[in-house]
Amino acid sequence: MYKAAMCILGAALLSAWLFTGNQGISEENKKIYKEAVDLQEQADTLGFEGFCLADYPVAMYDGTSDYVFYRGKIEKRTPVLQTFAGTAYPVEDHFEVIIPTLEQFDHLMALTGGVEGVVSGSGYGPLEQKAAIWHEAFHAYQLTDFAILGEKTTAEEMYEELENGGQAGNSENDVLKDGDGVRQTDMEKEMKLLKKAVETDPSAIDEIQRIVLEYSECRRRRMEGMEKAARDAEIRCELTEGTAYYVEASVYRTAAGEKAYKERYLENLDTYEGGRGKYYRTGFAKCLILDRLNPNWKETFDFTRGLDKVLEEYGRK
Amino acid sequence: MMGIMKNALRERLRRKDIYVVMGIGLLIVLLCMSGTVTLSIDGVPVTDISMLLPFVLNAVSVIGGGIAVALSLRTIPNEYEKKTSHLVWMRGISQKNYHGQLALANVISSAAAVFVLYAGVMIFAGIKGETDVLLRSIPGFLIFVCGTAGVSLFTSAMSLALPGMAAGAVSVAVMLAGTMQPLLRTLSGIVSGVSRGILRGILILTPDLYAAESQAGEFLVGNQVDIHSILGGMLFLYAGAMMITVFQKKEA
Repeated sequence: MYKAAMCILGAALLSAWLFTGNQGISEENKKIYKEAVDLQEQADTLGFEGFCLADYPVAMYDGTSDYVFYRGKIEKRTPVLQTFAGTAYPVEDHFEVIIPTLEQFDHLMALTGGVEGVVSGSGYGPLEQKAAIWHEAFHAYQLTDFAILGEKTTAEEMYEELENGGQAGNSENDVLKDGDGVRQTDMEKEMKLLKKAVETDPSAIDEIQRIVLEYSECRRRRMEGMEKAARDAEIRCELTEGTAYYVEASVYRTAAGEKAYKERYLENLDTYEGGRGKYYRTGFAKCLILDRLNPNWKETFDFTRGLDKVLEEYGRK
Repeated sequence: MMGIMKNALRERLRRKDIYVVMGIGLLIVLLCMSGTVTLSIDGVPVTDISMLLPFVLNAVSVIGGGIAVALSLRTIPNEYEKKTSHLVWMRGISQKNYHGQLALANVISSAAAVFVLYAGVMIFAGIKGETDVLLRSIPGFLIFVCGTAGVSLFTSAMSLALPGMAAGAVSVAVMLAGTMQPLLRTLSGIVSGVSRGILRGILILTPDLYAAESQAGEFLVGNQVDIHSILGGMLFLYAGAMMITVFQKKEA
């Protein structure tokens, strides 16, 4: 009798545990996705034609499974990328946004002290997670619709490359890691100039153009001393990450307000760091300057040219 | 009926080590809440009870787990070392019953020790005027103590199956892995190769004590609780109880 009762209790506990385990992703993550999609209107005002978050599946990885948000449904699946990364990743014939759940991102930040593109100690919560979803969705948009610097890679090609042991952006990472040939003092000077141009009164176009010219000259001199691979990697990184960071910052501004936006994205605009992080900010600064020089610059922008080329074009006018 | 359990508890109360361990634990808990320790997360000072409670309860669960291992590890082996177990068998008490009563004494003393630490947290909440937290404190404790009781039963079972040192090492390892599951899960997503395989294995083999005990914190501050995590804690408790009934001592 006692044994039977214990067996029934054990079976009941196990069944209830297994049953409730299928509840899936937390309500907070669902809310974050919904609120991120609701920011579409703000993203539309940026002027990137055809860019819509809902067009791309967003997979949140909780350390065990992916929860894929797409077309009003949430599907649980075996993780595509069994590591914590915010990225646009090829899945079959398309690109998906892959991002850790908020809980995992929180642990990751606590463990590592920060992630690339997010200045350490600046905090991470639902607002930042929404902005990060938009950032990665913009990468999916770039990869799906454009030939970045004239080079088009389909999802299938990228998947094949990854399957053969490659890592997306690896060559770029290798070139842009610490000691990438970029002289810190030169780079800091350029970043200060970009920040100055961003902070200049938007109506003072002549002054902005003057700063842009000074910046362009500094950059030209620095790049002359760099190897071609490092130069190309910098241009590419600044183009893809800078524009994605620009989108991220814009939706964050709407969601979190002006003060939080300035603290998170504008105050550290001239903060130098080794590796790729600095190019997020230089690219972002160039997008902001282009908004001042010609608010319609995105109408003809197709990612085939680096941001500097575009900046030079509008800076001269 | 429960004479063996009562005797074991009386013996525990006579020993002074439990008071020392509880005193040190309580001091750590009070330090965390008193403002002597400056606590901040992402540069934001943690002073609000809803932010402080989960952190302090997590510290209590680790200290409580350590106390549970310390209190449960030697109880059954010590009884056998006295060479008086034949007196128990003569009274017609089965080995299963004997082990069960000793393990229950371990669970009660571990729960009592954790209750002292938990009461310290509740007193702090009371001083802060958090009456809602106080009203939820008793059911909150029942959720919270599940993991500690599970660790106590598991340690008792290990002390039956393994030599002293090995039983202690396994129990501490399971307790730590259980209370650090979120950290291990995150780490398993960062590392690769063999390290990832090992971490994934640990995650599968150990109970998520953190999730189970953190539900008490969620409940206390009025947030929604995750039933799955509480059931996980209860399942670990059940598995510990089952191991006590399955594992036998050769001396009997």
